[in-house]
Amino acid sequence: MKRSKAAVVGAAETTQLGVIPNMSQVQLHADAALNAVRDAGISISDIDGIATAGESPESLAHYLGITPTWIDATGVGGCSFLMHVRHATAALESGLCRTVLITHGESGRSRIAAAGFPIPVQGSLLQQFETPYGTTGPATMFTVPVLRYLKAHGLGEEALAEVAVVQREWAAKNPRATFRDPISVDDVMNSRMISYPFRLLMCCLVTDGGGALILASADRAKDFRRPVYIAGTGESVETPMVSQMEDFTTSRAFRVSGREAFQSAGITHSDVDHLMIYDAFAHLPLYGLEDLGFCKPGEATAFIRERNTAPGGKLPMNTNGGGLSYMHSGMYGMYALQESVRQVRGIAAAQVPDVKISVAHGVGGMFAASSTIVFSRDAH
Amino acid sequence: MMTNITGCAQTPEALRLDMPLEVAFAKQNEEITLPLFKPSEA
Repeated sequence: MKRSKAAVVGAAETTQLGVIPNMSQVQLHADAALNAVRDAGISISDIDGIATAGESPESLAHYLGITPTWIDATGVGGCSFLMHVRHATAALESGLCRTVLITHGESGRSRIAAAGFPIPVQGSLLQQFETPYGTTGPATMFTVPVLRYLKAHGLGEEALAEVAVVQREWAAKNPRATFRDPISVDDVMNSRMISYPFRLLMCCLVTDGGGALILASADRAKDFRRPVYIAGTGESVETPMVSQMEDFTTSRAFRVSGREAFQSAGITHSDVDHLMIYDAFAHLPLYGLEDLGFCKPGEATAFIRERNTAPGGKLPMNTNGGGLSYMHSGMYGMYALQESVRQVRGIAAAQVPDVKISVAHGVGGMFAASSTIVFSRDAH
Repeated sequence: MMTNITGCAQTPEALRLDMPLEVAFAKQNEEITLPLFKPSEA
Protein backbone atom coordinates (compact mmCIF):
# COMPACT_ATOMS: atom_id res chain seq x y z
CA MET A 1 0.00 0.00 0.00
CA LYS A 2 1.01 3.56 -0.66
CA ARG A 3 1.36 6.21 2.02
CA SER A 4 -1.85 8.19 2.69
CA LYS A 5 -1.85 11.96 2.09
CA ALA A 6 -4.94 12.87 4.12
CA ALA A 7 -7.34 11.52 6.70
CA VAL A 8 -10.89 11.89 7.94
CA VAL A 9 -10.43 13.30 11.44
CA GLY A 10 -14.10 14.02 12.20
CA ALA A 11 -17.30 12.37 10.98
CA ALA A 12 -20.96 12.55 11.96
CA GLU A 13 -24.49 12.40 10.63
CA THR A 14 -27.34 14.66 11.66
CA THR A 15 -28.59 14.05 15.20
CA GLN A 16 -31.84 12.67 13.75
CA LEU A 17 -32.43 10.71 10.55
CA GLY A 18 -35.71 9.87 8.87
CA VAL A 19 -38.52 12.41 9.10
CA ILE A 20 -37.25 15.78 10.40
CA PRO A 21 -40.02 18.31 9.73
CA ASN A 22 -38.54 20.99 11.99
CA MET A 23 -35.25 21.49 10.09
CA SER A 24 -34.57 23.16 6.75
CA GLN A 25 -31.96 22.00 4.26
CA VAL A 26 -29.28 24.42 5.47
CA GLN A 27 -30.05 23.52 9.10
CA LEU A 28 -29.40 19.86 8.28
CA HIS A 29 -26.02 20.85 6.82
CA ALA A 30 -25.23 22.86 9.95
CA ASP A 31 -26.39 20.16 12.38
CA ALA A 32 -24.17 17.57 10.68
CA ALA A 33 -21.26 20.04 10.47
CA LEU A 34 -21.41 20.91 14.17
CA ASN A 35 -21.61 17.21 15.09
CA ALA A 36 -18.54 16.47 12.95
CA VAL A 37 -16.62 19.45 14.37
CA ARG A 38 -17.40 18.19 17.88
CA ASP A 39 -16.32 14.67 16.90
CA ALA A 40 -12.99 16.03 15.62
CA GLY A 41 -12.46 18.11 18.76
CA ILE A 42 -11.92 21.34 16.81
CA SER A 43 -13.88 24.58 16.40
CA ILE A 44 -15.57 26.05 13.34
CA SER A 45 -12.88 28.74 13.21
CA ASP A 46 -10.28 26.04 12.45
CA ILE A 47 -11.95 25.28 9.09
CA ASP A 48 -10.41 26.96 6.04
CA GLY A 49 -11.73 24.71 3.27
CA ILE A 50 -15.33 23.78 2.46
CA ALA A 51 -17.01 21.45 -0.01
CA THR A 52 -20.70 20.78 -0.48
CA ALA A 53 -23.37 19.86 -3.04
CA GLY A 54 -27.09 20.57 -3.12
CA GLU A 55 -26.49 23.70 -1.03
CA SER A 56 -24.33 26.62 -2.14
CA PRO A 57 -20.90 26.97 -0.52
CA GLU A 58 -21.71 30.65 0.04
CA SER A 59 -24.75 29.72 2.15
CA LEU A 60 -22.77 27.14 4.09
CA ALA A 61 -19.90 29.56 4.79
CA HIS A 62 -22.27 32.35 5.81
CA TYR A 63 -24.49 30.16 7.96
CA LEU A 64 -21.58 28.65 9.89
CA GLY A 65 -19.34 31.75 9.96
CA ILE A 66 -16.49 30.24 7.96
CA THR A 67 -14.01 32.26 5.85
CA PRO A 68 -12.68 29.65 3.45
CA THR A 69 -9.62 29.87 1.19
CA TRP A 70 -10.56 26.67 -0.68
CA ILE A 71 -14.01 25.81 -2.04
CA ASP A 72 -15.34 22.84 -3.99
CA ALA A 73 -18.95 22.82 -5.19
CA THR A 74 -18.72 19.82 -7.50
CA GLY A 75 -22.34 18.76 -7.95
CA VAL A 76 -22.84 15.64 -10.04
CA GLY A 77 -25.51 14.00 -7.92
CA GLY A 78 -25.18 11.51 -5.10
CA CYS A 79 -21.47 10.74 -5.45
CA SER A 80 -20.47 14.42 -5.24
CA PHE A 81 -19.37 13.99 -1.61
CA LEU A 82 -16.98 11.18 -2.55
CA MET A 83 -15.48 13.48 -5.18
CA HIS A 84 -15.17 16.18 -2.50
CA VAL A 85 -13.04 13.75 -0.46
CA ARG A 86 -10.81 13.13 -3.49
CA HIS A 87 -10.46 16.85 -4.29
CA ALA A 88 -9.92 17.78 -0.62
CA THR A 89 -7.14 15.21 -0.36
CA ALA A 90 -5.36 16.90 -3.29
CA ALA A 91 -5.96 20.37 -1.82
CA LEU A 92 -4.57 19.36 1.58
CA GLU A 93 -1.57 17.73 -0.03
CA SER A 94 -0.76 20.84 -2.06
CA GLY A 95 -1.25 23.17 0.91
CA LEU A 96 -4.28 25.09 -0.38
CA CYS A 97 -5.92 24.67 3.04
CA ARG A 98 -5.37 22.87 6.34
CA THR A 99 -8.78 21.70 7.59
CA VAL A 100 -11.65 20.83 5.24
CA LEU A 101 -15.35 20.52 6.06
CA ILE A 102 -17.53 18.51 3.64
CA THR A 103 -21.28 18.69 4.28
CA HIS A 104 -24.45 17.09 2.99
CA GLY A 105 -27.99 17.89 4.14
CA GLU A 106 -31.24 17.17 2.39
CA SER A 107 -34.85 17.56 3.39
CA GLY A 108 -35.77 14.82 0.93
CA ARG A 109 -39.02 13.83 2.58
CA SER A 110 -40.26 16.90 4.47
CA ARG A 111 -39.12 19.30 1.70
CA ILE A 112 -38.31 22.15 4.10
CA ALA A 113 -36.47 24.81 2.03
CA ALA A 114 -35.27 21.95 -0.17
CA ALA A 115 -33.33 22.54 -3.39
CA GLY A 116 -35.55 20.01 -5.16
CA PHE A 117 -34.73 17.33 -7.68
CA PRO A 118 -33.10 18.93 -10.74
CA ILE A 119 -35.53 19.54 -13.60
CA PRO A 120 -33.78 19.18 -17.00
CA VAL A 121 -32.52 22.55 -18.19
CA GLN A 122 -34.37 23.80 -21.29
CA GLY A 123 -32.33 22.85 -24.34
CA SER A 124 -30.03 20.46 -22.44
CA LEU A 125 -29.22 17.10 -24.01
CA LEU A 126 -31.46 15.37 -21.47
CA GLN A 127 -34.37 17.72 -22.09
CA GLN A 128 -34.03 17.39 -25.89
CA PHE A 129 -33.49 13.68 -26.26
CA GLU A 130 -35.04 11.86 -23.26
CA THR A 131 -37.68 14.05 -21.60
CA PRO A 132 -39.94 14.19 -24.73
CA TYR A 133 -40.53 10.43 -24.41
CA GLY A 134 -42.03 10.65 -20.94
CA THR A 135 -39.12 10.16 -18.54
CA THR A 136 -39.68 11.85 -15.18
CA GLY A 137 -37.85 10.92 -11.99
CA PRO A 138 -34.98 8.48 -11.46
CA ALA A 139 -37.25 5.41 -11.39
CA THR A 140 -38.08 5.96 -15.08
CA MET A 141 -34.45 6.47 -16.16
CA PHE A 142 -32.09 4.69 -13.78
CA THR A 143 -33.90 1.42 -14.40
CA VAL A 144 -33.64 1.54 -18.22
CA PRO A 145 -30.46 -0.55 -18.59
CA VAL A 146 -31.44 -3.31 -16.18
CA LEU A 147 -33.64 -5.40 -18.51
CA ARG A 148 -30.65 -5.69 -20.86
CA TYR A 149 -28.41 -6.66 -17.93
CA LEU A 150 -30.84 -9.37 -16.80
CA LYS A 151 -31.31 -10.78 -20.33
CA ALA A 152 -27.58 -10.75 -21.14
CA HIS A 153 -26.87 -12.85 -18.06
CA GLY A 154 -29.98 -15.06 -18.15
CA LEU A 155 -31.27 -13.67 -14.86
CA GLY A 156 -34.83 -13.11 -13.64
CA GLU A 157 -36.35 -10.22 -11.72
CA GLU A 158 -35.67 -12.13 -8.48
CA ALA A 159 -32.00 -11.13 -8.88
CA LEU A 160 -33.02 -7.63 -7.82
CA ALA A 161 -35.14 -8.91 -4.93
CA GLU A 162 -32.25 -10.78 -3.35
CA VAL A 163 -30.21 -7.57 -3.06
CA ALA A 164 -33.00 -5.95 -1.03
CA VAL A 165 -33.46 -9.00 1.24
CA VAL A 166 -29.80 -9.20 2.29
CA GLN A 167 -29.56 -5.47 2.93
CA ARG A 168 -32.60 -5.62 5.19
CA GLU A 169 -30.69 -8.21 7.27
CA TRP A 170 -28.01 -5.57 7.87
CA ALA A 171 -30.60 -2.87 8.59
CA ALA A 172 -32.19 -5.11 11.24
CA LYS A 173 -28.96 -4.73 13.25
CA ASN A 174 -28.98 -0.93 13.02
CA PRO A 175 -31.20 1.07 15.42
CA ARG A 176 -30.96 4.16 13.16
CA ALA A 177 -32.21 2.30 10.05
CA THR A 178 -35.62 3.39 8.76
CA PHE A 179 -36.82 -0.11 7.79
CA ARG A 180 -35.71 -2.96 10.09
CA ASP A 181 -38.30 -5.74 9.75
CA PRO A 182 -37.03 -8.83 7.86
CA ILE A 183 -38.31 -9.29 4.29
CA SER A 184 -38.31 -12.29 1.92
CA VAL A 185 -37.84 -12.52 -1.85
CA ASP A 186 -41.61 -13.09 -2.07
CA ASP A 187 -42.25 -9.88 -0.09
CA VAL A 188 -40.14 -7.92 -2.58
CA MET A 189 -41.66 -9.62 -5.64
CA ASN A 190 -45.17 -8.98 -4.32
CA SER A 191 -44.57 -5.33 -3.47
CA ARG A 192 -46.19 -2.65 -5.63
CA MET A 193 -44.88 -2.13 -9.18
CA ILE A 194 -43.15 1.25 -9.55
CA SER A 195 -41.45 1.14 -12.96
CA TYR A 196 -41.05 -2.24 -14.64
CA PRO A 197 -39.23 -4.34 -13.51
CA PHE A 198 -38.69 -2.33 -10.31
CA ARG A 199 -41.05 -2.94 -7.42
CA LEU A 200 -41.34 -0.78 -4.32
CA LEU A 201 -38.85 -2.72 -2.17
CA MET A 202 -36.23 -2.53 -4.96
CA CYS A 203 -36.28 1.29 -4.70
CA CYS A 204 -34.60 3.51 -2.10
CA LEU A 205 -36.39 5.28 0.72
CA VAL A 206 -37.05 9.01 0.71
CA THR A 207 -36.00 10.53 4.03
CA ASP A 208 -34.46 13.63 5.67
CA GLY A 209 -30.93 13.86 7.03
CA GLY A 210 -27.35 14.91 6.55
CA GLY A 211 -23.74 14.13 7.27
CA ALA A 212 -20.37 15.86 7.45
CA LEU A 213 -16.69 15.01 7.36
CA ILE A 214 -13.60 16.88 8.58
CA LEU A 215 -10.38 16.18 6.67
CA ALA A 216 -6.79 17.11 7.51
CA SER A 217 -3.41 16.15 6.08
CA ALA A 218 -2.06 12.76 7.12
CA ASP A 219 0.83 14.48 8.92
CA ARG A 220 -1.63 16.15 11.32
CA ALA A 221 -4.01 13.18 11.59
CA LYS A 222 -2.15 11.51 14.45
CA ASP A 223 -3.04 14.49 16.65
CA PHE A 224 -6.73 13.54 16.37
CA ARG A 225 -8.61 10.89 18.32
CA ARG A 226 -9.74 8.49 15.58
CA PRO A 227 -8.24 9.26 12.14
CA VAL A 228 -9.31 7.21 9.13
CA TYR A 229 -6.82 7.55 6.30
CA ILE A 230 -7.66 8.21 2.64
CA ALA A 231 -5.60 5.53 0.88
CA GLY A 232 -6.86 6.00 -2.68
CA THR A 233 -9.53 7.79 -4.70
CA GLY A 234 -11.10 7.75 -8.16
CA GLU A 235 -13.72 9.58 -10.20
CA SER A 236 -15.21 9.73 -13.67
CA VAL A 237 -18.28 10.70 -15.70
CA GLU A 238 -19.93 9.10 -18.73
CA THR A 239 -23.11 10.72 -20.09
CA PRO A 240 -26.07 12.73 -18.73
CA MET A 241 -28.44 10.45 -20.73
CA VAL A 242 -28.79 6.91 -19.48
CA SER A 243 -29.96 5.85 -22.96
CA GLN A 244 -26.49 6.72 -24.29
CA MET A 245 -24.41 4.48 -22.02
CA GLU A 246 -21.73 2.67 -24.02
CA ASP A 247 -23.01 -0.66 -22.69
CA PHE A 248 -26.20 -1.24 -20.68
CA THR A 249 -24.65 -4.14 -18.75
CA THR A 250 -21.74 -2.18 -17.25
CA SER A 251 -20.95 1.40 -16.21
CA ARG A 252 -17.85 2.97 -17.74
CA ALA A 253 -17.76 5.60 -14.98
CA PHE A 254 -17.82 2.82 -12.33
CA ARG A 255 -14.96 0.95 -14.01
CA VAL A 256 -12.73 4.00 -14.50
CA SER A 257 -13.34 5.36 -10.99
CA GLY A 258 -12.85 2.00 -9.31
CA ARG A 259 -9.65 1.18 -11.18
CA GLU A 260 -8.15 4.58 -10.33
CA ALA A 261 -9.05 4.21 -6.64
CA PHE A 262 -7.57 0.72 -6.31
CA GLN A 263 -4.42 1.67 -8.23
CA SER A 264 -3.83 4.89 -6.31
CA ALA A 265 -4.24 2.99 -3.03
CA GLY A 266 -2.02 0.16 -4.21
CA ILE A 267 -4.49 -2.49 -3.03
CA THR A 268 -6.03 -5.59 -4.54
CA HIS A 269 -9.55 -6.94 -4.03
CA SER A 270 -8.44 -9.41 -1.37
CA ASP A 271 -7.29 -6.46 0.78
CA VAL A 272 -10.86 -5.14 1.10
CA ASP A 273 -12.54 -5.98 4.42
CA HIS A 274 -15.71 -3.93 3.97
CA LEU A 275 -17.57 -2.44 1.01
CA MET A 276 -20.24 0.22 0.48
CA ILE A 277 -21.93 0.46 -2.94
CA TYR A 278 -24.45 3.26 -3.34
CA ASP A 279 -27.83 1.56 -3.83
CA ALA A 280 -30.46 4.01 -5.03
CA PHE A 281 -32.06 0.98 -6.73
CA ALA A 282 -31.39 -2.72 -6.29
CA HIS A 283 -29.40 -3.16 -9.50
CA LEU A 284 -26.59 -0.83 -8.43
CA PRO A 285 -24.81 -3.27 -6.10
CA LEU A 286 -24.83 -5.82 -8.96
CA TYR A 287 -23.20 -3.37 -11.37
CA GLY A 288 -20.85 -2.15 -8.62
CA LEU A 289 -19.60 -5.60 -7.58
CA GLU A 290 -18.85 -6.42 -11.23
CA ASP A 291 -17.49 -3.06 -12.41
CA LEU A 292 -15.18 -2.76 -9.39
CA GLY A 293 -13.89 -6.24 -10.21
CA PHE A 294 -15.12 -8.20 -7.19
CA CYS A 295 -17.21 -10.44 -9.49
CA LYS A 296 -17.08 -11.40 -13.15
CA PRO A 297 -19.85 -9.99 -15.40
CA GLY A 298 -23.17 -11.59 -14.51
CA GLU A 299 -21.92 -13.27 -11.33
CA ALA A 300 -22.85 -10.66 -8.70
CA THR A 301 -26.33 -12.11 -8.16
CA ALA A 302 -24.93 -15.54 -7.26
CA PHE A 303 -22.27 -13.85 -5.11
CA ILE A 304 -25.02 -12.15 -3.08
CA ARG A 305 -27.28 -15.22 -3.02
CA GLU A 306 -24.37 -17.28 -1.61
CA ARG A 307 -24.29 -14.77 1.29
CA ASN A 308 -20.81 -13.36 0.62
CA THR A 309 -22.10 -9.82 1.30
CA ALA A 310 -24.48 -10.81 4.12
CA PRO A 311 -23.72 -10.76 7.87
CA GLY A 312 -20.94 -13.32 8.41
CA GLY A 313 -19.90 -13.26 4.73
CA LYS A 314 -16.39 -12.68 3.41
CA LEU A 315 -17.21 -9.27 1.86
CA PRO A 316 -19.73 -7.45 4.09
CA MET A 317 -21.50 -4.86 1.93
CA ASN A 318 -23.89 -1.99 2.69
CA THR A 319 -23.74 -2.80 6.38
CA ASN A 320 -25.89 0.17 7.44
CA GLY A 321 -28.80 -1.27 5.42
CA GLY A 322 -28.08 0.97 2.42
CA GLY A 323 -30.32 3.36 0.57
CA LEU A 324 -32.88 0.56 0.33
CA SER A 325 -33.36 0.25 4.13
CA TYR A 326 -31.17 2.69 6.12
CA MET A 327 -31.90 6.10 4.68
CA HIS A 328 -31.86 7.94 1.34
CA SER A 329 -32.34 11.68 1.28
CA GLY A 330 -31.76 12.02 -2.49
CA MET A 331 -27.95 12.17 -2.61
CA TYR A 332 -26.94 9.14 -0.55
CA GLY A 333 -23.15 9.22 -1.06
CA MET A 334 -22.41 10.89 2.28
CA TYR A 335 -24.06 8.02 4.19
CA ALA A 336 -21.92 5.43 2.39
CA LEU A 337 -18.84 7.43 3.43
CA GLN A 338 -20.07 7.70 7.04
CA GLU A 339 -20.59 3.94 7.32
CA SER A 340 -17.13 3.22 5.88
CA VAL A 341 -15.59 5.58 8.45
CA ARG A 342 -17.56 3.97 11.32
CA GLN A 343 -16.51 0.49 10.23
CA VAL A 344 -12.81 1.44 10.06
CA ARG A 345 -13.10 3.16 13.45
CA GLY A 346 -14.79 0.05 14.85
CA ILE A 347 -17.94 1.83 16.06
CA ALA A 348 -20.62 0.76 13.52
CA ALA A 349 -23.99 -0.57 14.71
CA ALA A 350 -23.39 -3.79 12.76
CA GLN A 351 -19.64 -3.82 13.23
CA VAL A 352 -17.55 -6.10 11.02
CA PRO A 353 -14.53 -7.53 12.92
CA ASP A 354 -11.13 -5.92 12.29
CA VAL A 355 -11.79 -3.66 9.29
CA LYS A 356 -8.44 -2.37 7.99
CA ILE A 357 -9.62 -1.39 4.49
CA SER A 358 -13.08 -0.15 3.52
CA VAL A 359 -14.12 0.90 0.01
CA ALA A 360 -17.01 3.30 -0.62
CA HIS A 361 -18.31 3.51 -4.18
CA GLY A 362 -20.86 6.05 -5.38
CA VAL A 363 -23.00 6.89 -8.39
CA GLY A 364 -24.19 10.29 -9.60
CA GLY A 365 -27.23 10.85 -11.79
CA MET A 366 -28.31 7.80 -13.80
CA PHE A 367 -24.90 6.12 -14.21
CA ALA A 368 -23.74 9.61 -15.27
CA ALA A 369 -20.93 9.97 -12.73
CA SER A 370 -19.01 7.91 -10.21
CA SER A 371 -16.45 8.23 -7.45
CA THR A 372 -14.68 5.68 -5.28
CA ILE A 373 -12.80 6.12 -1.98
CA VAL A 374 -10.47 3.62 -0.31
CA PHE A 375 -10.28 4.14 3.48
CA SER A 376 -7.52 2.67 5.62
CA ARG A 377 -7.12 2.23 9.39
CA ASP A 378 -3.35 2.66 9.07
CA ALA A 379 -1.41 5.52 7.44
CA HIS A 380 1.20 3.17 5.85
CA MET B 1 -31.91 6.06 -28.26
CA MET B 2 -34.69 6.90 -25.87
CA THR B 3 -38.07 6.65 -27.63
CA ASN B 4 -41.55 5.14 -27.25
CA ILE B 5 -42.96 1.98 -28.80
CA THR B 6 -46.50 2.42 -30.05
CA GLY B 7 -49.02 0.20 -31.81
CA CYS B 8 -49.03 -2.59 -29.25
CA ALA B 9 -50.12 -3.21 -25.66
CA GLN B 10 -48.02 -1.26 -23.14
CA THR B 11 -47.22 -4.34 -21.07
CA PRO B 12 -44.02 -6.27 -20.26
CA GLU B 13 -45.45 -9.25 -22.17
CA ALA B 14 -45.98 -7.25 -25.38
CA LEU B 15 -42.81 -5.16 -25.14
CA ARG B 16 -39.92 -7.62 -25.50
CA LEU B 17 -36.21 -6.81 -25.74
CA ASP B 18 -34.84 -7.22 -29.29
CA MET B 19 -38.30 -7.31 -30.93
CA PRO B 20 -38.23 -6.13 -34.59
CA LEU B 21 -39.42 -2.52 -34.89
CA GLU B 22 -39.98 0.08 -37.57
CA VAL B 23 -40.00 3.83 -37.27
CA ALA B 24 -43.34 5.62 -36.87
CA PHE B 25 -42.85 9.39 -37.15
CA ALA B 26 -45.21 11.31 -34.89
CA LYS B 27 -45.83 14.96 -35.75
CA GLN B 28 -46.01 17.08 -32.61
CA ASN B 29 -46.49 20.50 -34.23
CA GLU B 30 -45.43 22.41 -37.39
CA GLU B 31 -41.75 22.29 -36.37
CA ILE B 32 -41.23 19.13 -34.37
CA THR B 33 -41.68 15.48 -35.36
CA LEU B 34 -40.56 12.69 -33.01
CA PRO B 35 -39.24 9.31 -34.17
CA LEU B 36 -41.36 6.69 -32.37
CA PHE B 37 -41.28 2.98 -33.18
CA LYS B 38 -43.91 0.26 -33.71
CA PRO B 39 -43.70 -3.53 -34.06
CA SER B 40 -42.40 -4.39 -37.54
CA GLU B 41 -44.90 -5.79 -40.00
CA ALA B 42 -42.16 -7.29 -42.17
